[in-house]
Amino acid sequence: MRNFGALARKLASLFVADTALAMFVPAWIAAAWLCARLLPDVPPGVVTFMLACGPVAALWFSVRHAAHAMRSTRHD
Amino acid sequence: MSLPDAHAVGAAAAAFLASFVEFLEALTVVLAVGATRGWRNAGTGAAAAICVLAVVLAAIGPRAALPAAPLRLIVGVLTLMFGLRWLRKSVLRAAGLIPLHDAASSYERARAKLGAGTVGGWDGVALTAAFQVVMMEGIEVVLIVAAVGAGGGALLPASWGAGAALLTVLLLGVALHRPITRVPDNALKCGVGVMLCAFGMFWAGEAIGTQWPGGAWALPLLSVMWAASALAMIQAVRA
Repeated sequence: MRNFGALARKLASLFVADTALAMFVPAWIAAAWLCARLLPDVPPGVVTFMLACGPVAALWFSVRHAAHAMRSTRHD
Repeated sequence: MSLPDAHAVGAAAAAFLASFVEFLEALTVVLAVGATRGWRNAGTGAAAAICVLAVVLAAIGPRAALPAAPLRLIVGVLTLMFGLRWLRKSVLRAAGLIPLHDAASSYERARAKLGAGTVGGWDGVALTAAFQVVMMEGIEVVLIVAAVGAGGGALLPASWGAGAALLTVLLLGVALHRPITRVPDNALKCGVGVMLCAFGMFWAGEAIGTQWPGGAWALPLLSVMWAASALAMIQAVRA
């Protein structure tokens, strides 16, 4: 049972780099889809740019937050 | 390069690199099991896990190849999240914020944990240890193969890539009989993260109707964008 527990934990952790990032990505893609559907006047290039930049920015904030937290722990 | 070709080549390359890194990590523990508890136990446990993983891949394969847009969206989002996890960890490692993976110390830790056993006979602890590590690393391989192969109908090239990686690692393990320490593990992981993010973003975009500039050529462009972003992040947060 312990082995199955370890496998289940590993599976659950595969898609979650950090919780905020894991929640942001689907929400951002849903926002890009809504933007394309609800605002047909928005040029397609804007949606593409939005789609490409959102996850990169989210990763940057996640990395910066983790770096800050790790440095704070070291200083403590 | 046509769309299927770009997908097939990219999927095979991503699956090969990701599988190579994962199987190397499994090999370290399997070698420790073999050295402490006997090669028959290590080989049998690992082979049993590979058989189970092959069955799992064969079972999910036909379902993952469905061309429906919702499936492509789900696969795209999950692949993107999967890639972000790889990329985040490798950026933090490259920046010196978390320690790099050390195959030699993993090997020694596994040996110390297993201790001396009954070399020669069947050993449940050794069999379970070899089976478990190959399953754990292999599940990630199966997910990567399904993820990079499903969106563009390139499940077969992705499976070939993973198979080639498994064969390479097996040959290295049989030839060297010790952990392989001179592999740029983190650079490979960063590369895999970049490719997974590019694939995920491309498919998620296609599923919601985004017109990528250049069609299939957006994939290498997205890879360059992610790689450049990762390098910039490493420089910015370097300890």
